[in-house]
Amino acid sequence: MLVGGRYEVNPQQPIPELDCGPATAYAATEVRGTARNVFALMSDPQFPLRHDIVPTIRRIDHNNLVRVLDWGVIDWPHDGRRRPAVIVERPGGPKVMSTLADQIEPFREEPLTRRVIQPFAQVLTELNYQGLVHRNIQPDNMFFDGNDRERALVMLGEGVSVPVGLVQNAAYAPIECCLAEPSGRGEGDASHDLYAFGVTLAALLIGQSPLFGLSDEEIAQRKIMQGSYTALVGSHRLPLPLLEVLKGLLNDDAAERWTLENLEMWIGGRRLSPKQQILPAKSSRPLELGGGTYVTARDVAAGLGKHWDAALTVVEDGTLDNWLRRSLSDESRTEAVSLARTEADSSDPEKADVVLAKVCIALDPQGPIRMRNFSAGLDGIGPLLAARFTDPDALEMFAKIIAANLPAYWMELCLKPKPDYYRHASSFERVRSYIDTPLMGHGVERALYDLNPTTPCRSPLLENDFVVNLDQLLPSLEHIAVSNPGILGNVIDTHIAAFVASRVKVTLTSEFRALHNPEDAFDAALSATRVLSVVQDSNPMEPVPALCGYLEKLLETGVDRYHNRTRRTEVLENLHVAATSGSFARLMAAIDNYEDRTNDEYEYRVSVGLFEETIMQLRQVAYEREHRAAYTYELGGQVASLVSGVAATVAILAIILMKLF
Amino acid sequence: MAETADKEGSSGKRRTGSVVTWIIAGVVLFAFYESIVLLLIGMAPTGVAMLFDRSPSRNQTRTVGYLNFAGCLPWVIDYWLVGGNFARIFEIFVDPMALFVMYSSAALGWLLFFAIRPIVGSYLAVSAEMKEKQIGRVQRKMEEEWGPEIRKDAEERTAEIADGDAVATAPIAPEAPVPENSETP
Repeated sequence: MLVGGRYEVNPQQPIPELDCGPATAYAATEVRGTARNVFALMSDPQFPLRHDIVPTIRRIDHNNLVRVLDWGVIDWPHDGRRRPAVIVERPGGPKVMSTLADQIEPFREEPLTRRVIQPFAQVLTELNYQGLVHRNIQPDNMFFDGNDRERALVMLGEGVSVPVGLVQNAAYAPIECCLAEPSGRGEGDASHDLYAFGVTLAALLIGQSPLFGLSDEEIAQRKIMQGSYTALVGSHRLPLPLLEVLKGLLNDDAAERWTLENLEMWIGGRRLSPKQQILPAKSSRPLELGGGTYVTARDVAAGLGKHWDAALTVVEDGTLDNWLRRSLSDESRTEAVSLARTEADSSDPEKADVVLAKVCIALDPQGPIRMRNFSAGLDGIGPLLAARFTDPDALEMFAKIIAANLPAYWMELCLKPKPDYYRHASSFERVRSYIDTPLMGHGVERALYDLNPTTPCRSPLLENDFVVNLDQLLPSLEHIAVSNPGILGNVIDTHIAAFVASRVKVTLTSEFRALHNPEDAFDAALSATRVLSVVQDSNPMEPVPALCGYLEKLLETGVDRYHNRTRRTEVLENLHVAATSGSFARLMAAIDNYEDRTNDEYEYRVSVGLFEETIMQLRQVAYEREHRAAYTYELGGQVASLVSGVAATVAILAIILMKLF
Repeated sequence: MAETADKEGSSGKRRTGSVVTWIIAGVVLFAFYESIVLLLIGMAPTGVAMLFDRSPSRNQTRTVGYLNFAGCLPWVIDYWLVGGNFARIFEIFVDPMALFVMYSSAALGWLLFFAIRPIVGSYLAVSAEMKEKQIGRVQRKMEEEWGPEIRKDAEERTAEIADGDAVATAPIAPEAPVPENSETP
């Protein structure tokens, strides 16, 4: 069980104190025998890990950041399958908080600034410089690099082994993230890390995680009503100089929130006065919905999303309009909601959900895109789709969001769009073009892989493996071809097709169309081979003779396309040789040689013509037999007259000679 | 119009040729009437054969006629070399040897005609059998090389061609009608 050929994981030695959410920690050693103390985080294969950032984040060598060294997929004896493992350098001490429920001795101002704020600002700057976000900053992912809690370095844990938002407590996420489902909070940017850092500082100062024990909804509600700073810090008395930092980092307006530059300036001694956060306008009279009361536009949007069916009535019967005009008195929101209602055709019951989704966006343009129980930020739609892919309701809601082009609508109303939003918007446009196409390599499966570059292939064939890259696909299928070829079927199923289509640069539409053809098994097998050949050509990888051997059996029926029996034998021999070589390109060349097939067809047509002649000859012979008497009479007469003529000529010559001489 | 004129032209030529032939025949009959009489009597069996021979190719007549003529020729030459009148012709016919030779040669012609036909019939039977075997071998070899579908495809194509052009693909049949007295081997 080697990761990267360098780190050996010991499955018999768990280290529960180092677990990170669903990722469980196990002892590991570096086989080269260096003194480095490492451990492995075995990620849950149900969730995509952020393996794509490993090559970059491993380059960051900072004393206050737990170093991620490598990742890989290994056989895991506990559940008899392959699981991803992230190798991490082990900190010298325990977690700052073993769980968020812990209470610790509060940090004082000076040590906090020296041991946490200053080094962590450097770490965040380094991450930002590398174009990375951490998204798992909270006290239970921070370590002491030694057992002396007063003096040891404080280290930030890794953020690779679990997907963004899955384990981060809602208290540590900005309001717009709290309102989305955990898996739909999106990758975010540095401002999200700075907010989480601000909450972490507050937790360290007060000795416990703020708002712990409340539900995500309650946390969001409090943050909306009171503002994050008030909701999180509350009545705790904090050192005055640090209030400035906390207010800056916990600003609910991402554009007004402190940046890394602001933080560094503060560390450098320049005291800034963070802009006073303006709380959202509250209505004079609350809107009652589903048993709850709501007073701000953002609050109402959250309520509409929570009580969807009741919200449909509230929007339809004008209650919301009245509340907006008479109670909230926010002209811009009122106008946006009216526009949202008129843009969508609310008379169509099928469109009612879309109308409500647009109304929610109009009420809370910074909030998530909501569609019944599907709620995600713009960059969280893909991850949420991945997290709930087995839920048919979620798939239906996702399809509705894409069909109604809600991401574009969200961007239209977005008050301060970021450059990344346009990248996401173009992705959704692309998804929209194929999501309804009933073809392999298209549909919602393709959307899953296009929107989630790190998600593993969900094919039932690969359920015991963890295939996230194309270069892992063929070895995994080869393993199945060796161990259990009976389950391979036609090898390419809807998920593998979508996975490949999403990861390769060539268009494979015609191959996927042929894969749909149930009447021509050979054509389907040939298309599968062609798809796998594209995969094999896309990356230098080991030959796969067992998989080629399996496909050889499927392709053998293709020799029927050749007429000549000798050629068929030669093709089968070539096919076998190609299969042994483990190359799909050679396999295709052996069975699908255009020149050979053309020649064979031409020669066959010529031979049919010759055979036709023999049939005509046999018919002539049969006809002659049937009319033998006539032929005999005619031919016999001719022969007799010939013989008679010859004999008479000889006799005449002899007579003339005798008479004259 | 041109065709009609051509037809009229060729018909006129034939008529002219026929007239010329009859004139020449009349001249020859007048000049060699003794020889003609000799041949008419000596080749009487050929005349009988001509009466029974209904086939367009007249093979029976020719078979008998060639040898019958050869049998008459010595006396015709004798008559030409010695000369004489009708008395000389009469002398020839009263010579039993002369008539015997003339009619025997005709009989030999009859014999040839009837003897050769069974041989030819047997030859045709054997030849057809050999041809069938050879074609069968060729077909088997082709089926081994191309599979049974080649027969199916060829038969389908043959049927299509036969449907589209039945006359062109019909086997070549002899024009000769089978006479009532012909033998079937």
